[in-house]
Amino acid sequence: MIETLIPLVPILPLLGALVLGLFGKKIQAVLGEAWTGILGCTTPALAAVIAYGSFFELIGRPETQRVVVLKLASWITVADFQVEWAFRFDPLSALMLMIITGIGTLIHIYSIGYMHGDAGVWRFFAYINLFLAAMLMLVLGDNLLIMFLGWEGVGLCSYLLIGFWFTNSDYAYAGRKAFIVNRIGDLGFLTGMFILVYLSAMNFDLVTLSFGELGSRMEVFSQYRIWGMPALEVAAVAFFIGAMGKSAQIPLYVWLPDAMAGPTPVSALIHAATMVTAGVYMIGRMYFMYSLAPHALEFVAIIAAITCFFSATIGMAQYDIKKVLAYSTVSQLGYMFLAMGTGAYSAGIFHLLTHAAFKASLFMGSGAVIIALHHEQDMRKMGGLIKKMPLTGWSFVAATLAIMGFPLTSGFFSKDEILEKAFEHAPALWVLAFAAAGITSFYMWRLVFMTFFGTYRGDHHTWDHCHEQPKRTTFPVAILAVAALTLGFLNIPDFLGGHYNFSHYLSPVVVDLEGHVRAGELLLEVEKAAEAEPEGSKVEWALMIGSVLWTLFTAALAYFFYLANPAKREALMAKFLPQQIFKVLHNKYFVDEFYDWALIRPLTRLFRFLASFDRLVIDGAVNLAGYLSRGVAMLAGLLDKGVVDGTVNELAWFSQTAGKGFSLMQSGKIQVLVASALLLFVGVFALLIFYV
Amino acid sequence: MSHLLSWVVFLPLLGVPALFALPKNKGKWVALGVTLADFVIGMPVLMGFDRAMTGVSNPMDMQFTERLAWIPSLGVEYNIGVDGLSLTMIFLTLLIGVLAVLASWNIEVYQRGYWSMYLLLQTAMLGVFVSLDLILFFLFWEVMLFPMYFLIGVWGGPRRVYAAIKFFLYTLLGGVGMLLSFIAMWYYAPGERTWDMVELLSRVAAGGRFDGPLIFGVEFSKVIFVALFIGFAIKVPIFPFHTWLPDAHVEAPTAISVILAGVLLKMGTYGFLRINFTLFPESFHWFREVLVALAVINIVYGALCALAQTDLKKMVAYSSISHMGFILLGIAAATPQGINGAMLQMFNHGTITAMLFLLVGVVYDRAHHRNIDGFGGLASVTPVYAAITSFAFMAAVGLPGLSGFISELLILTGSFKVYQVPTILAGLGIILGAGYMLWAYQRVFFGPLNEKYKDMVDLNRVEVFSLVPLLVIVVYLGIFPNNLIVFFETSMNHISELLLR
Repeated sequence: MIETLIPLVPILPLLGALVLGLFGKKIQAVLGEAWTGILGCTTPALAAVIAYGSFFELIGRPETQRVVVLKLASWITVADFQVEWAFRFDPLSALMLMIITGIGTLIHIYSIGYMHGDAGVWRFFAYINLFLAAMLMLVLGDNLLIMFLGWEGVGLCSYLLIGFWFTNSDYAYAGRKAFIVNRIGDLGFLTGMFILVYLSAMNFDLVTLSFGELGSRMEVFSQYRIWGMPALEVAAVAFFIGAMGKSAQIPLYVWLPDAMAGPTPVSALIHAATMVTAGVYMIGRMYFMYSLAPHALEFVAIIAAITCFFSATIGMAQYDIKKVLAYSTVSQLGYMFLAMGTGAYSAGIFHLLTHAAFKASLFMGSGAVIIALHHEQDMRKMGGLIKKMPLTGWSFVAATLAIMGFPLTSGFFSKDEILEKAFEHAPALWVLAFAAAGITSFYMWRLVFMTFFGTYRGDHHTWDHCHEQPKRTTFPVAILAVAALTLGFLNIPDFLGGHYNFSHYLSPVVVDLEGHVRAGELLLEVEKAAEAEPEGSKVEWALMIGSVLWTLFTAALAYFFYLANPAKREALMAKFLPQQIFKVLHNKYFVDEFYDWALIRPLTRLFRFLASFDRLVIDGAVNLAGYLSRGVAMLAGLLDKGVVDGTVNELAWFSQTAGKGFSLMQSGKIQVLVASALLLFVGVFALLIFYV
Repeated sequence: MSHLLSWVVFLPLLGVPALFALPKNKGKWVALGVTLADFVIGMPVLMGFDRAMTGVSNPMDMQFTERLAWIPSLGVEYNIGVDGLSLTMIFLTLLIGVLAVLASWNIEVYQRGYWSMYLLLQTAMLGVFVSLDLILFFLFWEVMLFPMYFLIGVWGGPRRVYAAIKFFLYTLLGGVGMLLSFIAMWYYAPGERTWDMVELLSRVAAGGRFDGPLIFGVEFSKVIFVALFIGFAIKVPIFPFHTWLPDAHVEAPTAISVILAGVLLKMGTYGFLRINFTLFPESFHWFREVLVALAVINIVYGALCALAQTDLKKMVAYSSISHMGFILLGIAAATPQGINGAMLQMFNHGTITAMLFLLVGVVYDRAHHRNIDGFGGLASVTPVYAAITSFAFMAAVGLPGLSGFISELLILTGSFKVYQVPTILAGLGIILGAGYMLWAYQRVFFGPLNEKYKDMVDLNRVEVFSLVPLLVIVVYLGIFPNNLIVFFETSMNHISELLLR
């Protein structure tokens, strides 16, 4: 079944996008908004059925046969450079397919309610279907180029959806910013790809970008240097620059918070659960390369830890409910990369899974609140909403427990493992990640208390009209909240009596790819080493208890400041230093302003200058030369009529003809000229025939 | 048909008498009929083309050849033929020829003049791509100037005369150097004197050299190489010979911009491949670093200038300069991927830029201006137009899945093998490309609707007909680029061998 049906997984939503894109307007006019939405949900749901079915078939197979590569057709073939349309279905892509189609379908259903009343529902579903197709392509692709196709495809859809309400210039601007910042990352991705092609071309008869073959070639590649550095390290960093763009890491994270301009389902699906994790997935997919590039991994870990910490601090000082969640996403992505960078491959992917569940739930919950309050996003005008929207509220609380890492929720298991690996790897990284865990708990509870508890601070009209959203909106939120609470049991660590089921499920991806067993062994060694140490479990217990206490403490702090005693907080805030700190955090460390000053403005000056240079200097020189030669020609014509002198004469003849042509045009005798030109031409060819 | 290729070349010209025989408002139908017929009779060339034949330097491998003595005293011949290098360009010319007729549907003044010039131009362009005799090539090259000059100078915008003269002057200047070079090449040909470029190339491939005297103390072949290069570079255009292009585009009527960007510019890069670089491989190596530098300048400088433009058409014109830089980069790299990518880019740029100019023409027809900041929110009133424009812009930006991506990817992977840092610099053009395209798009289509244009009409049927074939090709070649590459791969790989030797 896998072999025949897997290609349909991306193709179905693509068909949905095509149908809705081409005929959606008519469909919506004739069948109405509801049917348009249902049509939009059908293809993702079918894709989900196939994805889950294939997953169960896959785990039914022996471990060594869990990598299925489907070659569909040739894509580009030029000399030794050959790329195919091929899909790879293995435990890693199966997992991603389930996340994408599962959460994707839920968010599609949620969107029917969220987009209710919008004239462009058909357009919304066309875009978001297209997004799913591209995202599925990204994870299913068996080579870097198909991955890149999906990579750019999701970027396009993100652009289209952020600017969905395009009549608002700010939204349109946010879309463009996302696309361009991502393009900077893309250049990194492309550079990485070029390096791999270059290395292949030097050593092998055929250049390939397929993961299986690349894996088997890594050994050879690792011998080479480029620009005086080990080639694989450079390639790994280049690919990571691509990931910085797509997965919003420092310094390319700036687009993601602005991307919240898009409709909330988009934030949930694209800017939290799926697209932004593409970078993590890419590193997971290319782990055979990263495991041979230790310095690059170190770099990944450092960037990730810094991102994780700094974006969490920004999250503390935002009032826009979606902005808090956006910075939280950046921070959580940092955790995933930290895991990748410290060699905790499966922990990173596991956090990707749990984060997808709780963050999608959080975003959809916030979306329900925003709709209930007539598009109010400022938390200062919320409060006490749990009374009005209990299901949304309690789901939100459940998801918040997961993200803070409350014992036995999914976030507890996934984040804990990352912290532990970071501690083993380098305590400095652990400090940042540990601090961020507490900050996460603080800003999330701040959000919960400001939104759902206490007293309502908005106007009464809105409060009176505020009500729980219909089931089609709340049930996806609730389902994902339940998932957020329970998914952790998939990967209970040994020291808690579990078996790391999830890690074992993923291990064939790394180990059984033909040829790069070494990378896999390396990984297993790391994991085994962690398991084998006798005192290891004591450290693990200590770290676990430490982070639980720390997150509970900051949660209590949030309770104290935002629910129990706001006056105390205000008194504290009024003091000089806290106020200044808050200002810096609230303005996101002025990074956007810095980029504007350091990059955008110089660039603007540069291109303005070049355009003037083009017009005045280069074109000026041309005009000058034109005038001069015309002068010379006239002079020559006057002084020395009849002397044939190559260039000058040509020019003189030209300026005369041009002058005549001009006056002819003016006097409307153009036909004469046209006719003579034609005659000339025909004459020349008549000559030709004569000579034959 | 034994003279199939001649029919393809001269059929447009045969339409001219019909223009004068029929009422003048039927001109567009004549032109449409003739270009369509030409496209149809061109198909057997495409279908009957043997992809395994190398051509380029093997006279026996040229296909659909026709050869007649023309000026026997000088050895000039009517010598035409096709190989992988010219085939794609012929197909592109025939295609754009039909679509640009649709884009000139609204021409109202001097219709007979317009259409006769148009058809003459078509013949001249086809002639350039099939000529295998240097003098014949030059003849078509210069003949092309005439109709172009009038098409811009008579049917163009407000500064049309300036633009037309500038175009003419520039190209003519290049042409003079080219003619002198051709004569010198004939005179100092390796072996017996000949104008046959394939024959010359076969001798060069066998080790022959153009062995002339020093010119101003510089090696003969280097001087000729540079003179030829300038001649072709003006057409491409390569920095710093590019300033005629934005003016010509801005003033030219839509259809002529489409032809100019779609086909004419490729005559320059075609010349590089057919004559300039292949016939002087040693000078090519001597000049190669400069070529790479010029290519990168074209890409980055063109993109930066595009960012600064306020006129939509001028922006597209500068983007064209940027994209043509990729072609030079691929050729200079000369690896199989680079050269094949360059050839593919020549075709893809033709289709994508044609779309862009068609689309700019649409908005100009309705608003009578092209000031990017003078619109706003058009997506709400002209959704189809907005959708197709976003498609074309994405194609121009090199979105994977569309044709432009494949060729740029091939060029960059090809050049990375030889020139790593310049390739990355060229990659900046991709980022900047997204910048100017999306910025312009946003200002024209997004934001609050400009009340002035609240009654703007969406695309009409003729406009859709002119755009859809290009759209289909751009998607198709993004998914199955091989179906075009196979036509020229053998020839291009051979050129790569010749250049890298």
